[in-house]
Amino acid sequence: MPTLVENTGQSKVSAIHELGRADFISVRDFNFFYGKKQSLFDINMDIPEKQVTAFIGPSGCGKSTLLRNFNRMNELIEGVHHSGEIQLVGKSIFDRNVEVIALRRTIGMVFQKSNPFPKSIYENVVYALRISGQTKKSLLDDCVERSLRGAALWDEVKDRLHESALGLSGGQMQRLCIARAIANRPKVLLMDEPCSALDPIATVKVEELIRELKQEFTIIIVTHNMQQATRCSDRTAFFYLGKLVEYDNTHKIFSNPSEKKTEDYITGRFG
Amino acid sequence: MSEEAARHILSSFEAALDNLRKDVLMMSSLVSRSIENSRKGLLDRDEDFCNTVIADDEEIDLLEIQVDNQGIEIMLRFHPFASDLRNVIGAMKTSVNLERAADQAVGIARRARKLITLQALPETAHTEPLLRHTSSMFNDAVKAYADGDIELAKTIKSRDKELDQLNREFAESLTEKMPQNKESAIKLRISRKIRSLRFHSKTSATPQATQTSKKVRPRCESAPQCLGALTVPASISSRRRWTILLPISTTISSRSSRR
Repeated sequence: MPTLVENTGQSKVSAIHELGRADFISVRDFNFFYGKKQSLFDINMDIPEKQVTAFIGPSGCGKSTLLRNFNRMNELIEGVHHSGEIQLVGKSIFDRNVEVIALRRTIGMVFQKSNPFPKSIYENVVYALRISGQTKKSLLDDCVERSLRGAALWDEVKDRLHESALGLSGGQMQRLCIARAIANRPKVLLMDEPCSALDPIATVKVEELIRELKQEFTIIIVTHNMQQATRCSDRTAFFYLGKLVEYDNTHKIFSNPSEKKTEDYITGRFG
Repeated sequence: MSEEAARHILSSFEAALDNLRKDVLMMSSLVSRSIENSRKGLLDRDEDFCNTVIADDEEIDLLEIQVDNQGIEIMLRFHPFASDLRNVIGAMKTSVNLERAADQAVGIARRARKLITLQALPETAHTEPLLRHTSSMFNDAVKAYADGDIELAKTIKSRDKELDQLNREFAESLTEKMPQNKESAIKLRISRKIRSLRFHSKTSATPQATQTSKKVRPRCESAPQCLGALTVPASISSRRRWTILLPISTTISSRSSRR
């Protein structure tokens, strides 16, 4: 029986690995509140394993809010509360036994604005391992190479691993952040508009990376760029005013959506 | 967001789609006129009508190129999705079919011109029901496209069978006489041209066309049918709505769970 992360007093992430589950992440009757203001209404959806799921919708529709609920980042905000359930591989992420820090190692996140630490490239990647107590150099070196290769950055930085990460270009910084996120071998990658601050070339490089990463990770991406959603994602969820309007295969959503609101949004009739 | 008010926020996109549609309708109108003129040229033995058909073909050819270029421009600039994408691709494919229909009308006109130089045959009048039926189907297809009338579009395919029967009977009667006179041979070719107004590209809203992952060539069994087949309902929940669809998209939507 696969286990979620448990607060055993040790910094340990249990292996959660099943191939091809349609309900790898399951959201049931989920409502979310910032204080008295409700921002998510009765969200029900299943996110499949090892696929890219895109969240689209106008600003303020709740897509980033839902994304941040998957790794309980919203709990850092005062006054928030929720009802309903989010499960990862059949286990509630809000369960009392779930260690939040360990959960966030299982569910990595990449943000809109790349935020490398003011450290070297090498130290950025191994940071999570170091704070979890890992000191063996060979393991750290392997982790760095694996993660940077996985982020399609190794060839560009292999000769300057000990230089400051802040000297990288915007696209390289974002890929470094992805490398940092995958260093811990998470099962899920959350990406909140990862390319919005990047130039077109850097964007396509990250998109290509996303395509490769989905072989190993379940990826959820919030994007305002509908062309990006069509290029990158397997499934797309359209949100409007805190509600999930339509959720289906990307091809269906963008070629022949079932809901008029979806049609109007993607054809630019409102938004 | 009412249906009437649902225009694109980007006015240039809205205008581009409008212009594309207008050009397709203009082209349809010209082709319809060519079909009618070819009919008159043949039945009334009027060379002027025949010459008009041949002369008008150039304008139709230019419009086809224009529609094609406009479609590419729209896709390049605006990256249309859903109904907009289907509208654009549908318009581009429709223009190809219309251009070929015009070519068939030219073929009829050329042969009619030849027949005019020969002795009049009573069998000429037998082409009238064929031409009338074809014109009717074509005009209804155009109307279905212009009005987004899905029910009208659906009727066109079924009327094709009647046309098929008329054509078969006519061809058989002429074939008997073919060894006897040259005019019958020409008439048979005209009959085939009329029939070819139905066949020039092949679009079919059939289950075989649902393999969207493969390169499916849309097949149109007739110019009217092709136009008509492009207008199919895309019902949304309980709302009745129409969009212009590629036949392949028609089949996709026909397989969607809400149907």
